[in-house]
Amino acid sequence: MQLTNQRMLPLEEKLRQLVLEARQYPAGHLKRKQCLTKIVRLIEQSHKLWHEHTPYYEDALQQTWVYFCQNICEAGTGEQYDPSRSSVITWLNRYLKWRLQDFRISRQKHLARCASVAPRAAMNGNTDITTNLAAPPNTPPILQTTRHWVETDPSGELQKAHIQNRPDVSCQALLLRRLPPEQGWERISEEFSLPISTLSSFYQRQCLPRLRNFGQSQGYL
Amino acid sequence: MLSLMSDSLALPITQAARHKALEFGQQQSTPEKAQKVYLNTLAVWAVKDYLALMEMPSNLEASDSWNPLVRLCADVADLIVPGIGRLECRPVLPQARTCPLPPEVWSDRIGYLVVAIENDDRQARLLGFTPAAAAGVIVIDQLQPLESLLAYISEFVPAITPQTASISAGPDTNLGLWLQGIFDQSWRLVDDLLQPATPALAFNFRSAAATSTLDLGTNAVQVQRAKSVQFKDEIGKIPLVLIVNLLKAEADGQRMLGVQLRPTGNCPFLPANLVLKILDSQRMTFLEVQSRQADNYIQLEFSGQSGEQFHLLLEQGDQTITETFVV
Repeated sequence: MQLTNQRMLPLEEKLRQLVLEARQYPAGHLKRKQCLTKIVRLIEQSHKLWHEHTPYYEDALQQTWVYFCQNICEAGTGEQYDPSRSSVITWLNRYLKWRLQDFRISRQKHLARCASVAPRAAMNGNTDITTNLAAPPNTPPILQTTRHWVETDPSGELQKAHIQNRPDVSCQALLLRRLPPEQGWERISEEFSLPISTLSSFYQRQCLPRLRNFGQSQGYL
Repeated sequence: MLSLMSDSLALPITQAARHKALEFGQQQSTPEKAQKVYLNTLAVWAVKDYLALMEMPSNLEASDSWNPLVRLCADVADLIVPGIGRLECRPVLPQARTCPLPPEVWSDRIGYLVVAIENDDRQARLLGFTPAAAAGVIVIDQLQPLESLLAYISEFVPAITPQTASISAGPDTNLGLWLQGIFDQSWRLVDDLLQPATPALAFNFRSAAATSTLDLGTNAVQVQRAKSVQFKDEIGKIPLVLIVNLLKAEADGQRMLGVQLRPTGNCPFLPANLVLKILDSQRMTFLEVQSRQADNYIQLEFSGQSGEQFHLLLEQGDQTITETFVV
C-alpha cells in the first residue's frame, strides 16, 4: 500500500520526519532520545491512540510505549517499524489492541476460574485512600522500632551528631520531631531559632544517613 | 500555561504502580501522610518509566522513596540515577501553578521534576524539569521540557578511564555519592563479604590527622564498603576483598580515605608480593605497600579533596587491577 504525500495528514508527516531524524542517530545518542520524547508527546497529545475504559488499559498502553521505543528505529523486540507499510499511529494502535486483547482473554480466564468474585471497588482517587486506610489498628512495627532506636540511641551517635555549637540540635532531637506525628519545619525552626535550611541540610546530611544505616542493620532493605 | 501543556508528556499509570503506592501509603499512620506517600510513589514510578523508555538507568530500590524508614521520617520522592545522583519527582494536582518542596529535599538533588497525577490516578503528566529551585518552591510555568532533562543527565555521565593492559573496573566510582547513601551494586557491606570472625577493621586516622588541620568533630560521617576482586593464579583464582573507608569530618571538602586488602576464602593470609598503590590523577604513584609472607591485610591511608580523582592499583606479578575513584 502506498501512502501519497498529498493525502498524508500534517501530524503523520511530522511524525514521519521525526522518525527519520531519530534514525539518523545511533542508539543511546542524546538526540535520538530527544526525538523519541517529541514523538511520544505528539502521539499522546493527538488523542488518536485507541482508548478504552478497562482496568488494564494503562498496562497495555505502557507495553505499547515500550514496544514503540524498542522498535521505532531498528528491530528490537519486534520488527522494525516500516513507514511504507503503515502510519506510526496505525502501527501502534495495532500493537495496542493486541495487548488489550491479551489482557481481556487473561481476565476472562481468571473470572471463569473463580467460583464467585466480589466486585472490587474501582480506584478513583483521593477518597479511596482514606477509606482503604481505615484507622491503622496498631502503630506500624517499623515506627515503633525506629522510635525506640531514636529514643534509646544505643551507640550514642544520634546525640553526638549535632549542629555546630548547638548540642541541643542533635540527630536525635530532629528525628524525634520528624517521626510521626511529625512537627512542621516552621515549628522546629522557631523552637531552635535556626533557619529551616540549616536544619534541613543537617537533617539530610547527618540524620538520614544514620537512619539508612539503621534500616540496613535491621534488614529492612 | 498553554505552551507548558504542550511541552508536557503524559504516560499511563499501571495497576502495579497503584498497588505499590497504596501499599506504601498504608504503612503511614495518618491519612494525610498516606496520601502524600501515595502520590509521591506514583510520581517516582512515572519518572522511572519515562527514563526506562529512554533507556536511561535508574535504581528504584536504592532510592529513599523506596525505603520504609526514610518514608516515615521525610517527605521524599527521589529516584536514584546510578553514578549521578538523586532526581526528585514531586507530584501535583492537575491545576497546580506551583509545586512546594519540603525542606528535606532542598539538598542533595541533581534536579527536580514535577508530575501531575490526573484522570483518577491513571495518568501521570510529566510537566517538566528544573535543575534547582529557589526558595523551596517550583513555579510550574518556568519548568524546562523533558528534552532538557535528557541533556542535563547526559552531561553527568562520567568519562570511562582509558583501558590499559590492566583489568579496569569501568567508570570512576564517585565517593561523593557514598556520603549520600548511593552505592554502585558492586560495593557491598563489609559484613556481606567477610566472615564476622575477622578482626575488627580499625582505620586509624589519627596519624594522618596529626599532619593536617583536620577537625574530627562529632559530625564526622564515615562510610565503608567492600568489593570482591580476583587475580588469576597458576593454582586458580585468589579471592580478595578490597575495603574502602571514607571519612568526612566537619571541614568541608576534605576527606580521609583508607583502603585495605584482605583475603577471603579459607586462607587467613594474603599472598605474598601483592602490591597496593595509590596514584594521583596524573597517574603518579604517591603511596605504595607490598604484602609479605604472612600478612592478614595490607592498607593505606591518605586524605583528599572532594572532586579529586585517584587510582587504586592492585598488582600481582604481571597482573594489575585498577579502580578509579573521585573523592
